[in-house]
Amino acid sequence: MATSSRSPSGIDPASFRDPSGFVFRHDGSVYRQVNPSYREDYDRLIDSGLYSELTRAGLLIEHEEMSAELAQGPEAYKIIRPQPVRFISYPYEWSFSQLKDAALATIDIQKRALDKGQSLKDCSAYNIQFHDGRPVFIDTLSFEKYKEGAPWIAYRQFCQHFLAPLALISYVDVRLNQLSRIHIDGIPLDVTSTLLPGRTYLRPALLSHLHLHAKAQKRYADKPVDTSQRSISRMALLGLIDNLGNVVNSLEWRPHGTEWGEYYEDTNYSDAAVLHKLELVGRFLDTAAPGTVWDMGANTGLFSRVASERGIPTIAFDIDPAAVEKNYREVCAKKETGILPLILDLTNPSPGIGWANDERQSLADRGPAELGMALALVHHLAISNNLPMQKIAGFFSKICRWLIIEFVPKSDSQVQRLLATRQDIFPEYRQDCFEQEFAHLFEIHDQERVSESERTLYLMRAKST
Amino acid sequence: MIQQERLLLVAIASFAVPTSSYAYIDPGTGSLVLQMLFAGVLVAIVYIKLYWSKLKVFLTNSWRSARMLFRGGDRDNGHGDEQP
Repeated sequence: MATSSRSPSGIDPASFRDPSGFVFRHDGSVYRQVNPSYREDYDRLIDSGLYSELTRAGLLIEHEEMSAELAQGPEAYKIIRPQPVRFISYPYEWSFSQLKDAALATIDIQKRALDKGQSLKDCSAYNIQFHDGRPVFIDTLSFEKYKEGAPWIAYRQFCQHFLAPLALISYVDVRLNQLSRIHIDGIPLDVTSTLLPGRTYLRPALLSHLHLHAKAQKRYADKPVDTSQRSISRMALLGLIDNLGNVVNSLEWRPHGTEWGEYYEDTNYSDAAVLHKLELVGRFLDTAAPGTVWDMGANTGLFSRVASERGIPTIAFDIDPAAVEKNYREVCAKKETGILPLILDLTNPSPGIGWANDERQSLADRGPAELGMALALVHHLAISNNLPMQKIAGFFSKICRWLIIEFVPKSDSQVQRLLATRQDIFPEYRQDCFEQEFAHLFEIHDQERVSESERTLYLMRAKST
Repeated sequence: MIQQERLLLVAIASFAVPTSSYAYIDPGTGSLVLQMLFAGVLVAIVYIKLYWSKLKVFLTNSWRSARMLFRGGDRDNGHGDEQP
């Protein structure tokens, strides 16, 4: 359902594991082919009313059935076109509450599925995407018939993809969610068990679903076990799902003490400067009239909302998990649909991962955005990360067509703060050098000094377009 | 609750014997076996929750009935909001 595809055949490179069908792209739209082997399960999903119930509840992506002419090969039961998701994001880019809401949506879906004699056979976190502000399940082919007595086949996946990172964030450190980036099938439970503090052994749900689960995986890894001789009653299965939902619900993470969490209370400019900056951003957005905006270094999304409130789908990236968490909570509280907050370290953006580095896309592969915003950001990249202006300009010219960028001079107190702890080895960090380097790749469309400050806001357009 | 703790202890004891690790040849088997081992505990929890909520409903209803009776008694004694 990504809005871009990288395979020449049109088949999504991440869509190869499930024999039930695959995702492909044709004439700019994304489709899913349902293979004949999935026929019964697909029909059951529709005929049982589960599809209608889940789509009505906003838990499953809606789709329409298309003509069989679009089939990729002679064997196809159905071709469906799911509602497009604007931006595909990944669990290692989500804040704590985004991951928690994705987990709870998965549990809700599994409960409703069991109620209608079905079960999720796959509950990877990658099956959830944020659509109009809320988590929605996108893999329509993940439902199968529930067989009385059968255990939940996706239990391991749920624990590795959701419970493990949530517990690690809640009990150890928010940055441990980044383990999902190197373990594409979820954080291994033995690693999780080792990292969690001893007090988690005292919580029966964490003891069973994480610690004992890790031990069970090791114990039975090399042993042939005939699971057909054992069974788990429907009541026990419902108890398991309920228990997983309760433990996920009980996990909390409160952002505090992270460096930019309180950034807007820590600015060095006046209310008049903020108002003028908001007005300038709005004016530049109206000039460029972009279809998509990526706000890089968005903090809690004050300026991102200038775009989203104009009806422009906006991604609000920030390196600080606390800022992204606050932003997401605001999205939920205000029921906003046009803004998606995500965690991103611009100096090390999400790479392509998985088989052939092609299963999960890099940030650049998911672009370019029609307009990028880099407000109060350049000094962090140039001074904190020693990035030459030429490289900064080069990066922005790849990820966006239009750019709203703020230059903060050395005399600004925020830059002085960065220079206080390091030697000033940045003679090129000057407004004339900044303009000169960006002028190689961008045409400067407009610029204006932010009132009551020494900062300048620019509207630029990439020369290659 | 005692039964629940006993069942949990039995399940924990089954992992107490150390086993050699062969990395992840098949981490899925352990996940399936674990669910089956915990089946009894899970059913017990469901029933405890079910009966606990029923008990709460029963106690709440009993309390309401008792209050109603008490208020009714008051009315009989001429202290209620009697209608003409």
